[in-house]
Amino acid sequence: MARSRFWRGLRTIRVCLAALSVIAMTLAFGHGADCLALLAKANFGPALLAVAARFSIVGAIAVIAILVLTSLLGRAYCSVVCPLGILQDVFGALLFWRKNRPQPRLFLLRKGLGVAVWAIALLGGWAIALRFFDPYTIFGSIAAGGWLPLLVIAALTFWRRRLFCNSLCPVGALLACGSSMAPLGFRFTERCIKCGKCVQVCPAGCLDPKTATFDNGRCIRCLACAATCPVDAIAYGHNPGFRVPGRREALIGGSLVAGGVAVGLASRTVRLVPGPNAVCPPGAGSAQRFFAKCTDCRLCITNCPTGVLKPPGAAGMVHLEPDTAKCQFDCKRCVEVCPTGALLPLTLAEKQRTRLGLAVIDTQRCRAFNKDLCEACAPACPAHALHMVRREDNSIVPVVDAERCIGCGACRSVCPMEPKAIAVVPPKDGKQTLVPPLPTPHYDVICPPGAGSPQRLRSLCTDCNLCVAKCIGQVLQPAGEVGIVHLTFDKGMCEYYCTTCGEVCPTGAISPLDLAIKQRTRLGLAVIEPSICVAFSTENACGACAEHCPTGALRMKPDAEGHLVPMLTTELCIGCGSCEYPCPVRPIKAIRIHPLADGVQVLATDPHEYFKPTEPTPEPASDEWLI
Amino acid sequence: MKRRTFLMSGAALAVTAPAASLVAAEPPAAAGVKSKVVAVRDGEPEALFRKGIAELGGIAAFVRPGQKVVVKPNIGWDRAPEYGANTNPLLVAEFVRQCIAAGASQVEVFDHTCNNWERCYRNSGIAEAVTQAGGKMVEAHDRESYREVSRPAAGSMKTALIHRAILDADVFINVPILKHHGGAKVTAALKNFMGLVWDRQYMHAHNLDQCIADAALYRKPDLNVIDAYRIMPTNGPRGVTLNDVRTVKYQILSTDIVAADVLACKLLRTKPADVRYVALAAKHGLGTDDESRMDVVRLEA
Repeated sequence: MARSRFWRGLRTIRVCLAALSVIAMTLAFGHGADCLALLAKANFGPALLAVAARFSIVGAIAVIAILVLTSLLGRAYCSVVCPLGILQDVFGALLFWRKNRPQPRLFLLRKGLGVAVWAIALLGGWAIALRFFDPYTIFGSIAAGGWLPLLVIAALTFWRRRLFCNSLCPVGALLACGSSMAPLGFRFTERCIKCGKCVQVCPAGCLDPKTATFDNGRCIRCLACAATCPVDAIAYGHNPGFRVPGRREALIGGSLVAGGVAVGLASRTVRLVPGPNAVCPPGAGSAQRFFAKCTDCRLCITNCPTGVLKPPGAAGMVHLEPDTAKCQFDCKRCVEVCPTGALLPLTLAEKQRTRLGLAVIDTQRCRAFNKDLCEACAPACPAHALHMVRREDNSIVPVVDAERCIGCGACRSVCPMEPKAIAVVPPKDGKQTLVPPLPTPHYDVICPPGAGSPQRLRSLCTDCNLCVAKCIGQVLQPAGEVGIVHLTFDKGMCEYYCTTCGEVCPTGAISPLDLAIKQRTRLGLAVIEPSICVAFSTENACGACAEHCPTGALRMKPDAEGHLVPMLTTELCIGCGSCEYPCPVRPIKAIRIHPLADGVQVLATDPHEYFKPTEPTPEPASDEWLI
Repeated sequence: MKRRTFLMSGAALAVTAPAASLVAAEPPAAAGVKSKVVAVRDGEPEALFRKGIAELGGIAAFVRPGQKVVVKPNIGWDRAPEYGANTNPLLVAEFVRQCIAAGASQVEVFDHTCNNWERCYRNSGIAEAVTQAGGKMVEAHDRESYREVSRPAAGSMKTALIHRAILDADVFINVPILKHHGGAKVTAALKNFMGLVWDRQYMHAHNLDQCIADAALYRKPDLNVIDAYRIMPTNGPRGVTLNDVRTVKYQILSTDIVAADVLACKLLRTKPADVRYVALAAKHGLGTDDESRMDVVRLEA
């Protein structure tokens, strides 16, 4: 009988599936489609870690599915899903010119190694060993551009083909237990002519036609042997290994489990301290936890849209280096892709409040602190935590609100100094905490001219407070508890000829207005309280408000008894506070600017139109003395 | 002035004299002597001033070599000169030049502005004109620049924080601009004193007219020059549009602050009797509001 078409066809399907799998996984590490990164969660190692780290449902489904399939089909996972296994097959294919392809040997301690790795990871909580042995993680570091692991794996493959899978891989060790004792498996039939062709093609070194033994524990179901066999002597059926374990096997297994438990529990007591200056990605929980849980697969690093995430290096773990890049405020890609549970799932709202570190300004180097003009950092802050403040010497400098700073590094990434004048330091105890939520904005406030409305201002303003620091009239106030940059008229009035706030606003929250438009933009409306007004209640024609009104909206006019009192022409009022500020009545002023009913800034009547002379022309100058 | 009024003002003066030694140093309107008021018209601000000061004996009659001079224009508002809200910068600069030519050791110029002081100083054109003429702009936005002084004779404002430049100067020259005023009806020489005082809101709240008259007690000006080149008959003292401004090209000079204001009221077509602080200032003995006791000299520039 000729070579089996069935097995050859099945093998072709297996190779195609494996090719698809490894291509998809490679793309997942290279900014492929978003959903590809989710495939990483189907890898056994990360899935089991995710179950242990945060009882991931997806991880549990993946683990159970892989175990069930392994008991039915053997270690097909290793030849169809595992990207490192498929990569080794690719390297192995490069050896086609060798007639006697090298066979892997069995590493005697492989079971002990696998048990130790898993015990330390699952019982001890340290996934560190998986950084070096988890096949998915090794593939990740290769896909992320690591040359050293690539060379090591290539060398191992050229030397002994799938040596890694059968001797070092902890996933392989675990699946081998299931596969070797599964009810179904490969075996030699009597048709075998002992030609040895199967041995040459087997990458796992799991069969020996001479003794007609077939180790289903090591077999990765690549189907090469069955497809190669000239007499169709390899059959799939009853697994000779499916039996009650002998006393010796049970003893070895029992002592392995007992040893694993001991090693795992012992590793719980280990206290490794991570690098001192690592700012962890969001969801890490704390530096200690992240150091223990992360296998450094680099899926987050390659999926980070800004490139702020960096490989461990000296820091000992994946960390943020916001030099030219920042942690994007409205992104939590790293949290979404992390397959091992090292990054705990966060909602975007939580991520935006997670304190990764704290920005610290080096006042020695910062340009603003050295009398130079620089206001780059504050407008870049997405957390409303960096404010420009006017100091006593009139210099305007950035100040970090440590309560609000989330350490995303947006400020540092835009700092023009080299080296940077802002550092992002990790939280003192390494723990990630939530910053308090922004106060609920009060929308009944008086907004600066060009804001449009409080809602528009709130949505665009980053609270850089540049307008506050530069306000000529000292009326602009920081958001504070009110939640929106707003005007009060305790220290001055919105200067009629000033458009500074719109000019300096870096975010467009305050639109720059032409002076003529600004002078007609209504911010609020003046309301007189006659019961406390000096002019209404006494014969003193105080006139402070009318004197200051720039648009002629407030004039002193005689009332019914002939006393001069302030009267408001509402259509001219722009709510600039020129009346409220000088009003001498205390503690509550007799004239106050009230916010607009709907908050929307509109144009008041043009005083040039309102005061257009109605009489023809003033009488021509006569030669007679007027005095 | 009726005999009784005169006696009354004399009595008021007698009360004021010990406390307000500066005021008493040169008693105004001695019996039989009329207050000289010079009105000049038809010319540029500098020409008007040169003509007028010549009639009063030249600048040398007021500034002697080595003296410290303070010139107090109205720089209250952040407005350009053509809006007539601030004293004409050409006039202030001419004044500074003449003072320096007369040997003044320093000429300081300031106002306690209503709008942001830097913008007022700059946009009124006065800061640049004064600096070029050799004078010195003095800041007045800081409470530290003011010293507390009391005047028991005052009707309402018995103590006040007065700018130190006024208190320290040898010669004080008052250079206001003539404008309508919503509360006090007219702002000219007397009303310009609000710019010496730190707490203007106190003045507004505690009988504005009385406080204006009281403010003049704190330092008698050696010369008042009312800039009426551009006047503001409506919507004063800030003005809204250029329609509020008339260019009449007048100037009023006098050592008698009350008499100067009386003529200024007439120029603005307001009855001096309606402007209450004029009568109150006359009552303080700061000058005469009786036109029959004025010697008005009218000149063409």
